[in-house]
Amino acid sequence: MKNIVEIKHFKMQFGRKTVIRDLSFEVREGEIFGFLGSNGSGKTTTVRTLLGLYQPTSGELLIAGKKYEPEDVGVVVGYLPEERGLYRKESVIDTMVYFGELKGLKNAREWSLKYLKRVGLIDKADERVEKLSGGQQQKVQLGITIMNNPKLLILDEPTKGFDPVNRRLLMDIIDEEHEKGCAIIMITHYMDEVERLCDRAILLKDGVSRAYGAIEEIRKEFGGKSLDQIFIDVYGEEENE
Amino acid sequence: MNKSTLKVAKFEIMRQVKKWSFWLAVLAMPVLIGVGLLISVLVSAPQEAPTVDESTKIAITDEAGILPKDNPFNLYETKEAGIEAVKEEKIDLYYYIPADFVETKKAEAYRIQDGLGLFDQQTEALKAILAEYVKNEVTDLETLALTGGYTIDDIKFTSDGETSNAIGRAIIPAVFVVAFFIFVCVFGNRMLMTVVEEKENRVSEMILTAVSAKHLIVGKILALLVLGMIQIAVLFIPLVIFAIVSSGSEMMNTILNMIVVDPMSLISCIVLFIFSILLFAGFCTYIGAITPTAKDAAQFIGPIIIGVVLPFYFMQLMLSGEVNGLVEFLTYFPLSAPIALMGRVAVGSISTPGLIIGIIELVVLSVVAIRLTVKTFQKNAINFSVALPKFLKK
Ligand SMILES: Nc1ncnc2c1ncn2[C@@H]1O[C@H](COP(=O)(O)OP(=O)(O)OP(=O)(O)O)[C@@H](O)[C@H]1O
Ligand SMILES: [Mg+2]
Repeated sequence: MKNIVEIKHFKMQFGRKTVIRDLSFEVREGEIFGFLGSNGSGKTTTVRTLLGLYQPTSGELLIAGKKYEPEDVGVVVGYLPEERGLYRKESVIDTMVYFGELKGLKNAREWSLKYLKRVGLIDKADERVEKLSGGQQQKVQLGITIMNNPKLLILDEPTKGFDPVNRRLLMDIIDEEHEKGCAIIMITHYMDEVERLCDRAILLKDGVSRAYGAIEEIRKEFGGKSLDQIFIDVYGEEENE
Repeated sequence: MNKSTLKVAKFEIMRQVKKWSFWLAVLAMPVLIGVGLLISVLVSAPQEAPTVDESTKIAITDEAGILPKDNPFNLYETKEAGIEAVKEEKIDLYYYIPADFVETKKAEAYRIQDGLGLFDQQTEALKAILAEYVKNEVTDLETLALTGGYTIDDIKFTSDGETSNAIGRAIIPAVFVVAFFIFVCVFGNRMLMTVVEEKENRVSEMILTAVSAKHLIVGKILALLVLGMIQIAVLFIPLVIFAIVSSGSEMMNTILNMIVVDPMSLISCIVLFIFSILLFAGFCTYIGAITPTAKDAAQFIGPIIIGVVLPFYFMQLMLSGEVNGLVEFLTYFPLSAPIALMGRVAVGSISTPGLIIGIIELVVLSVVAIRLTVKTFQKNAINFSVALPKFLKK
């Protein structure tokens, strides 16, 4: 299978602080990839650099063999950032149509209305974004992320702040995109989501990879423990040292 | 123009024109300006005038016979000779008192135009001179000369010897100064906020993966330029309509006849105006790019506007046409340059090379400022703290 994302010897420093020391991994076309690591381990930093929002200190971060450029008509990427926000004073539908147009979507309005109906927000279409609850805003953002049929979805803690019903809805939507052949990088702290959804995963610690590969392989490597337990073991080392 | 830039601009324009608060602000502007003008007229007392002193060379041709024949001002026999002397700058001020002075109660003064000459009352010097020579008031002529109950027509020439119409020439450049000033007042804050809001709303991370920083910033600036033109149109269209409706009336004819359209100064003003606005936009958006929140950004807008309107504080100096170190500083100091340059074009106190240097400065700086904004925004778009440039940190 071909790689859609390739990260080679990625190193990242902020000032004197090294966040990523030497990180290399690949994400394959069409797979769901779990990107795991404790708070502050550098997951968000890695995807931001992959998307050109940060400049790497060294190393190569490629999407379909190229550095990512917005407006490039190559691979369509959908990104749900960790730091989420929309223009507060604009209406939901105007915001969605704007992003749709920026992403080159022809029927942005119809698509948006259909999506809002599906996620139960059709009656909020003309409301200002600021009048929506946090979870409702996230649903709007998820819509924006998937609206242009991405080949690669990068979701930074997508389920953060969702109730169980909406979490299920989100999983369904992710599944659908996956069915369509979209590769998904999922940053999450919920190991059950990883076990249920992901084909492969990487576990980040101290700026390097501590476990990387298919989920079963990782579990085998750690003596068949659950991912939760593996996570706790890897990060527990710190206290034992 | 790039497609994404246009999409950004369209969205930014639409979200403003949809709001009634935008229109309220746009319509409030003419009212505010009216009130402002009224106050400034009421407050401004007549200014100290540059008057004549010993160094002023004065000649008088006195056909009415108030002065004795051997007076020191009797340099030219005829009016023509006197006027010629003024044009050749042999003398600074020439008075002609006609033979029928008692009937017409009118004398004439001739001189070279200096700046706009709004504040000077040089020509009144004649009254003091005449009054001094009248010893005893017996005739009507002497009474008139002594009481100063006559007017002096003030006729001015340009340094080329043409009849000067400085005010008529200043009208069109002044329109550009006013338009720029309005833009600064109404859109300075918006310029800052348009960039800051991306960070404050945390939109930047989402939007920068859909559109490049360059196209986003340029699109946003473009939108504000269009909105600024709407504002300026709201101000000037009523004036134009008024002019059309009342065309043919005597007052309108007088005003229209006064306006002098000088192609060179018109072109200079258009170029200066465009790049002034771009430079100002560059400054404001740069501040927006280095500050994380609207609150942080807001404290910068005051100093910027003060810098821009600095030439207004030295209005009298600028209008006098005098050129000194301060005037040159205001002309080339990036913030005050736009108004100072356009102002000096209005007054006609800038040389062609000086103007060209000014235009080049504005063009170069505006391009540099906008590029710097794009770069800075790209770097700091998701860095939610103040990002001062390196040279300021030390
Ligand atoms: N712009 C920045 N300037 C300085 N340091 C930064 C910057 N962005 C991130 N960091 C630092 O890099 C480290 C990794 O941050 P990052 O946000 O990538 O972690 P994360 O793995 O996404 O954590 P979480 O699970 O909490 O989201 C943190 O220590 C953070 O303080
Ligand atoms: Mg993170």
